[in-house]
This record gives sequence, structure tokens and C-alpha cells, in this order.
Amino acid sequence: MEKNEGSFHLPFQLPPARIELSRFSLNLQKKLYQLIAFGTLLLLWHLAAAYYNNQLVMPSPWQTCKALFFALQDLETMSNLGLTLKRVMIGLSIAIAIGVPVGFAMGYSNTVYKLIDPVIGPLRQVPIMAWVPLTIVWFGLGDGPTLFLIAMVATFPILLNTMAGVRAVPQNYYHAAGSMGAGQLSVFSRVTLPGALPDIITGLRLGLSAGWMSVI
Amino acid sequence: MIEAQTEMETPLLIALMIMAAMVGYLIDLSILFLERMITRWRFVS
Repeated sequence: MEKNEGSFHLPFQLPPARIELSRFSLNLQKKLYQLIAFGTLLLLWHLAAAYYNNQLVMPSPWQTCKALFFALQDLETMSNLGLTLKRVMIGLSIAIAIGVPVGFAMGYSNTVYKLIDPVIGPLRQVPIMAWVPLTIVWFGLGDGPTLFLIAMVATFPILLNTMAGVRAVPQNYYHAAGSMGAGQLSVFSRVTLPGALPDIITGLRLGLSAGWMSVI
Repeated sequence: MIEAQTEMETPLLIALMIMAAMVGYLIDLSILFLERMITRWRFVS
């Protein structure tokens, strides 16, 4: 009988030192590409600024760097940034609280999907700026309209990705869990949730960037 | 940002755009980090 029966070895597996070296060279290559991309962008920007020679149309990278330096030291700018971050986080929390449960329900049940999809399908096509006057009437001036808008733009990517994630879990996993005697709660926590989690996080990333873009 | 826009301060406007982009990018990176933490099984090499 062979010594390592059942174990699987690739014939071309590299020694650990070689793997570390190739990882290091890949990281180096990535950094080099980033440097080239940023360098090219800066060069093009500088050439455009030199061509226009007008600060109003195209300021140079150096002028922008100076403005960035002063903005970073300005207390008012920093406090506004903090306020915006707080609003985005609250709006995102509202979006998660709505999007994830509704997405799960729509992914699980075709009836829920058929009931909710005709509403959210057209609703998410409404331009976000069209909501602004209505939100001011509903919530008055202050944080209310902003929070509503952030939650509005962030909810749909989270909801749709959650639904897609739940639907993408293979049926075999449910059958396997069921055959091993798993209950509803166990199936949810050990099969559905881990299976849908990557899509939920993708939705979170999309929702967050949409919320951040809409509030600035 | 709107103040910079109305006062035609283009360098400040671009600087604030860069700042917003950096903050958004950092938040995105933090979510990616969170993803690596809670879905470890996907990143096992």
C-alpha cells in the first residue's frame, strides 16, 4: 500500500519559498501598474492644464494639491465631512434594515416576489432628484430628506443582490441539509445566509457608493 | 463643495472631489476587508 493513499499532490506544485517569491513579484507588479496609471493621469492632467493655462477651466495638479492641503486643515470642511459620513451610515443602516429582509423574502418565496416586484421595479427607475421636493414637504428641512434619499438609492442594490444571492444557492445544498435533519433555522443560518453573503456584501458596496455619490 | 462651485474655485472643487473619492474608496476597502473576514472560505488558497 502506498504511504499517502488518498492525498492529492499536484505534479507542478511550487516549494513555499518560490510561492512567496511569486506573490512578492505579483504585488510589486501591481504597485508598478498603479504607479504607471497614476503617473500617466498626472502627466495628462498637467499637459491639459498647460494647454488651457486657465485656473478656472483646468487647474494644474500642483494648484489642486495646495487646495487639498488647505481643505484637509480646514475645520469646517472636516466637520462637514464627518456630518456627511454620519448621514451616509444612518441612511445605509436604514437601507440594510429594509433591503436585506425584503430581499431574503423575495428570494425565498415566489409569492412575495410576485407581490413586491411590480412595486419596486418601476419605483427604482424614478430619478433620485425627482424625490427631492417631495421629501422636503414630507420631512421638512434638515437631515430627514438627505437620509431618505440615501436610504432610497442604497436600498435597491442591497435588495436585488440579496434576492439574487438567495436564489443562487444551489437546491442540492438544501436537499443535503434536509437529508441530514437540519431544521428551518439551521438551513437558514448554515446554508442560505453563508451562500447569499457574498452577494449581500456586493449589494452593500453598490448601495454605499450610490448613497455616498447622491449625498455629496 | 457647492460653495466652491458657486465661488468658481475650481482647484478647491477638484480637491474636494478627490477627498470625496478617497473617503468613498476607503469605505469600500473597509467593506472588502469585512468581506474577507466573514466569508473566509472564499479566499482560502
